[in-house]
Amino acid sequence: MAALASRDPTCGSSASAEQLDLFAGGPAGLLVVPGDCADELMLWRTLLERTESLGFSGLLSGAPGAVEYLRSRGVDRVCVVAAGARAERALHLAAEERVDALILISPRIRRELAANLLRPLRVPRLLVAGSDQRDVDAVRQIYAQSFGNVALRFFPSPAAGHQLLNSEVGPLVVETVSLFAGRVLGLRNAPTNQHSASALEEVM
Amino acid sequence: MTQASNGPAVGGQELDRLVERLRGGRVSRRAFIRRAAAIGVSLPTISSILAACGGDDEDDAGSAEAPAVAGDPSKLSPGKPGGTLREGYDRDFSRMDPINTTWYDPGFFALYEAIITPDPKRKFVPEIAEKWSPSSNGKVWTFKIREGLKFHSGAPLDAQAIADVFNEIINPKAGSPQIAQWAPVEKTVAKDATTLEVHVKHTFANLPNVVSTGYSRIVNLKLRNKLGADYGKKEIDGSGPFEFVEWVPGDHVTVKRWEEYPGAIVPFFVNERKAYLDEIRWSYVAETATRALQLQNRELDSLKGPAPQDIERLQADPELVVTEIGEQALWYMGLNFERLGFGDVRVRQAVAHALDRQAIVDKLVFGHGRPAFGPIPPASPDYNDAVEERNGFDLTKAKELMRTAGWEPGGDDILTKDGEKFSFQLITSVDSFEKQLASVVQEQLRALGMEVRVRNFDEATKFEQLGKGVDAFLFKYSWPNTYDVYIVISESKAAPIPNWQRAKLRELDQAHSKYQHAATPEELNAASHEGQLVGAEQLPFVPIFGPSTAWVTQKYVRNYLPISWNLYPYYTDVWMDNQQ
Repeated sequence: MAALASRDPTCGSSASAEQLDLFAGGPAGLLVVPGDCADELMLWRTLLERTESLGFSGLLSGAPGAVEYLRSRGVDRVCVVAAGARAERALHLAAEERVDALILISPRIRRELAANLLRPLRVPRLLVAGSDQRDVDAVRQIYAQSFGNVALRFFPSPAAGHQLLNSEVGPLVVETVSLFAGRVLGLRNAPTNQHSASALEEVM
Repeated sequence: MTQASNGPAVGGQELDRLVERLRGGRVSRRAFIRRAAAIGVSLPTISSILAACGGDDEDDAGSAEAPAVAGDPSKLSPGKPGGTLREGYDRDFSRMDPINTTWYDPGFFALYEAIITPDPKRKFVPEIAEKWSPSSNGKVWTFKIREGLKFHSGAPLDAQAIADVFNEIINPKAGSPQIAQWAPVEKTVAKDATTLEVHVKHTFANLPNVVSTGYSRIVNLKLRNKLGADYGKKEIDGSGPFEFVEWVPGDHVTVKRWEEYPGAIVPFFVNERKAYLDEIRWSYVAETATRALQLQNRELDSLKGPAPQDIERLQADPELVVTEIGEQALWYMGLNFERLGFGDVRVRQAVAHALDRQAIVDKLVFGHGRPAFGPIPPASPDYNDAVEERNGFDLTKAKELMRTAGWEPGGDDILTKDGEKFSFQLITSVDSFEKQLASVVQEQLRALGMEVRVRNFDEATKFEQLGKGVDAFLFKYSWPNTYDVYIVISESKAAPIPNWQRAKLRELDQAHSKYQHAATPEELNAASHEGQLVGAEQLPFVPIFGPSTAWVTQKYVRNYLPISWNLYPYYTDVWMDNQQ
């Protein structure tokens, strides 16, 4: 397994980069690309437990093959989630593997990488930020370089990165992530566009 | 323990962590069973671990089973019923008759339903119809309609009621502005109460787009025909989660929860039952400066369309949440192909190269939009970014194009050809933003050597002038599927209305025809990309920018998340966390 992204210097205690958590729900799942702070991992686990109770599967891993691993567990619709500097890893995953949606929380993406990573993406994306002007500017910069369905949401909190989940607006951030994932991946399994004659026979 | 090929190592390490968390009480027994089964732990092993860990919480009732969809969407945000959502709105309301409107207000998504609806990936999902499919030759689309539905009035909402609406849309005498998108539709037939057949003249993969817009929402046609022009003003009969209460033109629209709503089957809705909110009252706030103030004074719970210059201030308000999306909309400039030199593609390209779109976005909408170089906006999921290789700001190139077209600077620096000055009238409405945009365009084209005379008209007079024929005009289109409206405003047969610029481009007509005859979603996408490139090259109109739309809510307004195609949130999911 490849090491996760480099350690966050603002992090207190560090967790093992090898740690993985699988949350077993239905055929729609969230793949969270975590940093290596123990407190960050705890926040993500709380989020994934919440989405698990809604019926979503979940995996905490930024390793190559994570999307495929989820798929091997029966997950056919994947939304990738990341915060801060992990947004770059999430963008790579979204670009290299077939995913259905992307959620970035106060993302930081190096300017020289942004255009190449953002241009090919067309899946629905949600960009979340607090009120810190640098975060607001970063999100707007990403939006300006993105095409297709991109929603921005700004919460009234000075917290940044994964700390938004732990701030006074944390419950609203969790609700937004869950709601967006639900909108994109579907909260229930329902028949959808039956674009074939054989499907018609089943219908009738 | 198995491991996915090429996947991250999970196996024993994952199980160890799971057991540790079970022992620590950080994971329920039921979650343990699901997760352990998901990573391939056998049922006897799961049982023995549970027995070893002790405990008998009610969570593990039943035996260890294979993982299933065990969730409950209502847990996402278990809404509290009650309250009136006071929502500010940035434009005056129009008659809420889907068949005969050119703009759908937010009430359309509370009062009416469509047979199918697009999710955020633009995948179509059930709404009134449970399932659907085209026939093998693509000529008949069959929709299976939910049984037992009714309108607010109690009238049955069955396949016949829907067929009546669809046949009215394609009836030329009905005057539906949608008729162009529906051109491939021959007729709609109700085979029985729950079976609807839409017959098309040729393969038409775009049908789901056409039947799912706000304009194709299902209305009780019998009541609509009985009331005539009063329909949508005094009475409305749809099947959405809210019922009509009143419309006071120029002021507000009010709806109340429909207590007999049978619930939604849209798979991405949180709320499957009747709406949480007692009422919604949309107020038209005409003054842009007043909108943000009303929200900050807590006179509104939510607001669509604050002034762009106020968004930053609203973001700093500790009680507000700001949401912004790229609108499926485009500001463009129409140049009359029959006037001056606009019939010459080099002249249109010169105009396109003379516009500094980024400066327009930065100055006029404070960055809340994106420059557009092709006929559909960057926010469209079908956007072909190859259009950006064309029409970039390049004044030198613009001047060279005008020179090759025979236009040379005269004594006053205005371009001249055969004694004629390049001087034309640009028509706009009295809307303050449109006037500002016209002023910037005027200034930028002056640098190219074009004299632009701006004239402003009220909205109705502007449309009248466009129909008669003008030199040039500014216009904003907004449509859930932007390629559809692109066809409507640029195909030759749509001249002079609404192809007000009288564009007649054979290559573009061919591209549009390919789009309308596409048999599969893949063909549709390929035709869209091709049509965008032709449009960026031939310029049936000059694209300027794609705007963003902002919604601002008080923190207590929950489950409020608009989708770009619908432009509005799904009000059945919205609730307010300030109710007792």
